[in-house]
Amino acid sequence: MNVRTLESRFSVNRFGLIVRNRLLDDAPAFATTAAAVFALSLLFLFLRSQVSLHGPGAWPVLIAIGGVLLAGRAFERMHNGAGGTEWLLLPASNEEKYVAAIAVYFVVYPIVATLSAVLISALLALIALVLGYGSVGVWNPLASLHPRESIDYVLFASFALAGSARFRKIALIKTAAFSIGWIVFLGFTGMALLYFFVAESHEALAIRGRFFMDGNIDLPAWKTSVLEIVAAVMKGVAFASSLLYGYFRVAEKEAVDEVQ
Amino acid sequence: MVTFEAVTFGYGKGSLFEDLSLAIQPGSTVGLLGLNGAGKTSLLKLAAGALFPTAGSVSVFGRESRKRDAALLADVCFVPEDPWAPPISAETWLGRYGVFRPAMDRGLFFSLLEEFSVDREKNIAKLSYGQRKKFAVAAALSCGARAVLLDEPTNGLDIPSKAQFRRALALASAEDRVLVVSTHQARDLENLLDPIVVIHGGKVLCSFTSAELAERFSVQRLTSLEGRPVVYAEKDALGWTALVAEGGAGADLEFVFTAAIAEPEKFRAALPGRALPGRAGDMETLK
Repeated sequence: MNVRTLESRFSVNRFGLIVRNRLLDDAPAFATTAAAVFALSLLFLFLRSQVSLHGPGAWPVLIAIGGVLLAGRAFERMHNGAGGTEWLLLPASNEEKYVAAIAVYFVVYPIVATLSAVLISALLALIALVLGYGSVGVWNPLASLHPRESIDYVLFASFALAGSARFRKIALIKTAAFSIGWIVFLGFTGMALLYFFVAESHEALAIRGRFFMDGNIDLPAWKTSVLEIVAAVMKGVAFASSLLYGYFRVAEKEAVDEVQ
Repeated sequence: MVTFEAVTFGYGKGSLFEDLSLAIQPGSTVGLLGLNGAGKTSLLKLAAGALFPTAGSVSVFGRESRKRDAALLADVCFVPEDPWAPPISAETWLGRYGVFRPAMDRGLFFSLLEEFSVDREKNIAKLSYGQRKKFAVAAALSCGARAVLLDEPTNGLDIPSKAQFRRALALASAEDRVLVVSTHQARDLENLLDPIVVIHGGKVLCSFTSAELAERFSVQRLTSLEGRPVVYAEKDALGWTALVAEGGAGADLEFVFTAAIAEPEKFRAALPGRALPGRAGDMETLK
């Protein structure tokens, strides 16, 4: 890095270094989890003569949970005494530090985790073949890639990032509690609005009595489209506001957690 | 130059500084003295950008600390009293974190580690408190920052390490650099700190250079205080130990500090020609 890059608000070089440091910081937790998954799958293979994680959707769910857990502790160090002061005063802009976290948990981690999952699944398949449990396929991530689930992962990871920037301790649990509270509130508000403003909802409630359970109402196609657009917009707003909130928490964070 | 302009700051509803103004010129090694809770650490953190003032502004070499941009952060280095100890070696630290500072002098860093007898290959988290402190000081003095802010750097250092630290600090001082050292152990660094700033009651109570101290004050053993320009005196069985407003005999910095806190008006009166610092609109400039 040279002195001139210090003048720029966003340096690709510094950004790359922060991404690298994040990956190095997360590597032990990631490697331990991957090893545990591999060991459990191996145990399952020996006990049940099956490869446990070959069910559709098992790997993507595991990868998504891991990503949200890691994102939930993305800014843990920032809240932590002298380590936090060091992090805040690391010569890089707030934007570089925040965007690096987004890049790691939205892009780099899913790719690395997917490649690791393919590797584990290939190893398991090989072991199964060698031990005579028959031929099992290697997990194909492209077959499991669904845009809607990917968007949901990014949305949950953005909540986790914001929560990590906000809360000092047990950030993920507090974020989950906060998010669930909001989802329940918005869900009931949405249902109430439907009940009062969409005539079909009365019929659905009267006939099936399960309106509040699954919201399965026989709406005309245009109304369904409107509801889908509203849901997409709400997700977009939640995503953008989570990211903005997290950024401002990082930019405004002060080192007040140690000796004054 | 490190500048505090009409800074107001506090924790919660309480106010620690009210309208504090101070300017520190390059080429100085400033000693920051104050009682516990006077705000020495907070002042350093405000300069570093780790804390934000509620009013006023703090800038380092013309850049506002609050913005925490990369250029400012590379030009400031703050070492807390209990420095961060990452679970990596000093060599690895250099590759991971030292690289963010383009002016970092790797050769000086390793030389200082050697001088301080800190093993560059040992896990920093497993070093003793004093060793960790020496690692952090070595990093700060070699990182190329023009403003180096050290909070209680000699706390936890053994006697040889204090001597090593004094040598390193003397080597690190430069015409374009500001070194600010907050300390309770004024005697450890007495000959290096110049000027001295005393923080008290949310203000810069007073400041003086070592030349002013030698020229205008002396600590004397007296049997009577009658007719002497006494600023402050402590009685004991054999008479008085007094800070007298006349030069010549030398003055112990810790005794001077006690005098400045106990008798601020008399102390200031003995420093004629200096603007009273810390009042609204006043700017104490230190060189």
